[in-house]
Amino acid sequence: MIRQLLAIKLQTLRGSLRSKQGRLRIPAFAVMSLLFAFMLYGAGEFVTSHALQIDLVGELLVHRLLSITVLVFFALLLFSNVVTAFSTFYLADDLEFLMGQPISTDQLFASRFIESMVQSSWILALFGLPLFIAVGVEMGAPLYYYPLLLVVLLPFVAIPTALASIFALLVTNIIAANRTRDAALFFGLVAFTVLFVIIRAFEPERLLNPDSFDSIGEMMRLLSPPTTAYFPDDWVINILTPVLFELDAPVTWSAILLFTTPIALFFLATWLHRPLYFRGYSNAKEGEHSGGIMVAIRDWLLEKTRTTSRSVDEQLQNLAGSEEQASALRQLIKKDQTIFTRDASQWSQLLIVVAIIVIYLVNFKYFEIAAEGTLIGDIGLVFFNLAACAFVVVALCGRFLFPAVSVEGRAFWIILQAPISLQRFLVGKWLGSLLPIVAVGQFLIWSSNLLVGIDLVATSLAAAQTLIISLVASAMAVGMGAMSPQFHNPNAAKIASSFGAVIFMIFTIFLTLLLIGMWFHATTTLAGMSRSPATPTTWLSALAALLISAAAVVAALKVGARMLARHF
Amino acid sequence: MNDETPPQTDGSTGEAPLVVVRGLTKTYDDFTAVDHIDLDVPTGQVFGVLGPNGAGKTTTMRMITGLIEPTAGSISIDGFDLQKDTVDAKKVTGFIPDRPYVYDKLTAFEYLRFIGGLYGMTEKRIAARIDELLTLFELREWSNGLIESFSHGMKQRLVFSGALLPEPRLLVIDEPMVGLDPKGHHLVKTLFRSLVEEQRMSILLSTHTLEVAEEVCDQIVIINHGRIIARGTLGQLRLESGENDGNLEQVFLRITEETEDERDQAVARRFGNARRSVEEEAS
Repeated sequence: MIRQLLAIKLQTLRGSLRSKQGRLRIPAFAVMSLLFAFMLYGAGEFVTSHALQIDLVGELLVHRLLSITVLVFFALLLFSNVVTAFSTFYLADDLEFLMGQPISTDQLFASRFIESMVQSSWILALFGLPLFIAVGVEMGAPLYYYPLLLVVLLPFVAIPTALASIFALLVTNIIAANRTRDAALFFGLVAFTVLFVIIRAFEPERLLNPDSFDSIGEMMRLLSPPTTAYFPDDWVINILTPVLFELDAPVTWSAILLFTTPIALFFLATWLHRPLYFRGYSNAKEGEHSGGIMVAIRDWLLEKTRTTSRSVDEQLQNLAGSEEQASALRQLIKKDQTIFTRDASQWSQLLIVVAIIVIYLVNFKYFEIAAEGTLIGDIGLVFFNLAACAFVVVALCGRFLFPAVSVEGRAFWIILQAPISLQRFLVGKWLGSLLPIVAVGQFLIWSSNLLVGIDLVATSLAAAQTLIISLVASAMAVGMGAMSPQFHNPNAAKIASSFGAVIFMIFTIFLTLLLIGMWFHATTTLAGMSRSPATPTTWLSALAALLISAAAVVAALKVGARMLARHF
Repeated sequence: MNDETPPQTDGSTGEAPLVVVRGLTKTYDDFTAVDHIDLDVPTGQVFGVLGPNGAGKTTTMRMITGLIEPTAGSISIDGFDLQKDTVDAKKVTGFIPDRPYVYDKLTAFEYLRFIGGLYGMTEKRIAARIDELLTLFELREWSNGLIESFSHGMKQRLVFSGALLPEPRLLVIDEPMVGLDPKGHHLVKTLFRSLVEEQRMSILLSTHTLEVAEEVCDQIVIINHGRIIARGTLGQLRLESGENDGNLEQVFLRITEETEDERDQAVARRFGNARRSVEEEAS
C-alpha cells in the first residue's frame, strides 16, 4: 500500500512532466539549478583552497567551516520540514479522499513521511552537495568519500522529517490548531531566532578583520559552531571529517547514533500517529470554526477592514452617491489588500519582516565596528550595505509577491473571464505590492547608512538604486510567480519555498548584483569616493543598467502574462 | 461545416447571432477534446449544449468564455473576435462555472463590488445592481459575511449575482443547477426565461439536467466525442431521432446511441496518435 501511495505521487509527477508546460519548464529549471550548483561548487572550492593556504590552522579552519555549514543545513531542514509536514500530513487536497479509503494510519504515515522527506530535502541536494563535493575535491579526499556523503546525508535528512512530523502532530492536537499552518509561523520565528543566535555567536564580521583577534586560538574558538554531541550535524561531521582528512576511521559512536536515531524517531512518530493523527487531522479541518488568538485577531481585522461596518443599505447608499466609474486596477489592488489582511497565515508573517529589519540594523552596526578603517573602507561599506538591502528586498519579494498570483487559487477563473488583460492584472499585482516593498527597502537603506555615518550624497545614491531594485525585484517576483502558478497549493509559505521561488531568488540576486556592479563607478564618482576619473563607459554602464532594469520589469510582466494564459 | 460557414441569421428577427463559433478545436497533445465545432447562438434565446460525460461541453464553454485558448478556430461575441478584441468580447459576457470557487476572504458585498469594478461600471450602477441581485438571490442578510462561511448553494447564488451584475448580453452557464435547492431551481428557470424575453439576453448553457433543458432551451446542440452530432429545436431533434412523442431524455439517448464499432472508431479518432502508440506498445 505504501508503494501504491507513493506511486500515485510519482505518476502525478510524470504526468506533469509530460504536459506542455512541464516539458518547457523542467529543462529550464534543470539548467538554472545546474548552473547554480556549479557556482556553489566554485565558491566551495574557492573558500576551501584559500582556507588551506593559511599556515598551521588551514585544515582546522576547513573543519570548522564545514561544521557550521552542516549545522545551518540542519536548521534549514528543520524549518522546511515543518512547513512541508503541515501541508503533506494535514492540508493536502488528496487527504480527504485518502481518509475515506481503507488505508491504515501506519501506511498513510509512512508514505507521507517519505513524501515529506523528499520534498524538503532538495535544499540539501541543490545547495549542500556541491559544497561538500567541492571540499572533498580540494582536500583530495579518497574516492569513497563521495558515496559516503550520500550514505550519511540520507539519515541526516530523515531526522528533521521525523521531528517535524511529531511536532506537527503535537501542534494539531494540543493547540487545537485553528489555521494549522499558522503554527509553522511560530516555529519559523523560533528557527529564525535560533539561526540568528548561532550566527551572532559566530560573529562572522570579525573574519573580515583578522587583526581583531588576539591569537589564532581565539579565532579558532570563534569558529566553533554552537553545537553539541547530541546534534545530528555533529555526528555527520564526526563521520565525514576523518575520511576527508584521511586521519582515523569515522567515529563509530556517531555512526551508530546517526543511523539509529532516524529509525527510532520514525517508529516513535508512527506509534504516536496511531492514536493522535486522526484527532489532529480533524482539528486542522475544523480550524476555521475553532477559537484561538489568530482567529480573534482576524475577526478584529475583519471588523476593521470591512467595506464599512454599517448595514448593507447604508453601504449601498454610500456607493450610489458616486457617479465615478470604478477602476478595475484599483479594485484588483483593493481586493488583494483586503484578502491579505484577513489571511492570518499571510499577514502574521509580517512579524518576520520586522525581525529581519531589527536583525539587519543590529548586525550592520556590528559590521561597521569590525570593518572600521580596515579591509573594505567606506566604499565597501556602502556597497555591502546596498547589496545586503537588495538581498532583503529580493527575499521579501520571494516570500510575499512570488505567491501573489498563485494565491488567487481556484477563484482565478474570475480574472480569466473578466474583461481585463492578464498583463493588466499582473500590473495590478505589482503596483499593489510596491508601496510596502519600497518602504521597507528605503527604510533599511536610509537607517543603516545614517546609522554608520555614511554621507547624504552616497546614501541618496544608494537609496535611488534600492528603489530601482525594489521595482525590478517586485516585478520579477510577480512575473515569475505567474510563469509557474500553483493554484491548487493552499499554502503561500510553501509556494514561497518552492523550486520556482528558489529559481526566482537566484536569478534576481544575480541580476541585482549585475545592476549594482554596473552602477559602481558612476556611484563612487558622484559620491566623490572614486579613485579613478569617470569615463564615458562609466555613464554608459549606468544608463545600460537603467535600461536593463526597465526591460526586466516589462519582460517579467509580459512573459508572465503570456505563460499564465497558456497555463490553461 | 467549415471555417467559411456564414453566420446564420435568426429567421424570426433577422438579427445576426450574438455568438459565432467556427471550426473551434482544442487538442491536448494527441487528444482532441473539441473537434471543429461550429455554433451560432442567436440573440435573445436560451441555447442548450448537451452531451455525455467527456463529450467536450465544458471545454467548449470555457473556450467561449476565454478561460482556455483554442488550438484552432474562431469565436466572435457581439461582433468582437475573442482572440483579438479579448477585453471587448469579455465585457459583454458573464460566466457561471459548475463549481463556485470565489474569494473566500471577501464578503458578498465586496465580491460584487469587485466584479462591478472589473467591468468598469459606474459606482452608482454597481450599487443599484447589487441592491437588485442581493434581493433576487436572497443574499441580503448575508452580504456582510465572509464568503468562506457560505454553503455551496449560497456561493452558487453569489456567482449567479456576480455574473448578472454587469448586465451581460451573453450569459454562459456550465451546469446551472449544481448545489441549488428546489427553490433555487425554480428561481433560475424563471430567471432564464425572463432574461431572454425581457432583456434579449442570450444564454448558452450546458447541462445534464435534461428536464431543465427541455423547459428553458429554445435550441439545443448535442455534442459527442468532441463533435456536434445534432442540432435544432426540441421538435426538430424529435423528428431527427424518430422519437416523435418522446421527451428530451428519450431523444438524447436515441441520438447518442452508438454501436461498439462506432464508439471504437470515434475514440480512435479522438485519441489520435496517443491511442496508436498505446496499441503499438501493447503489440
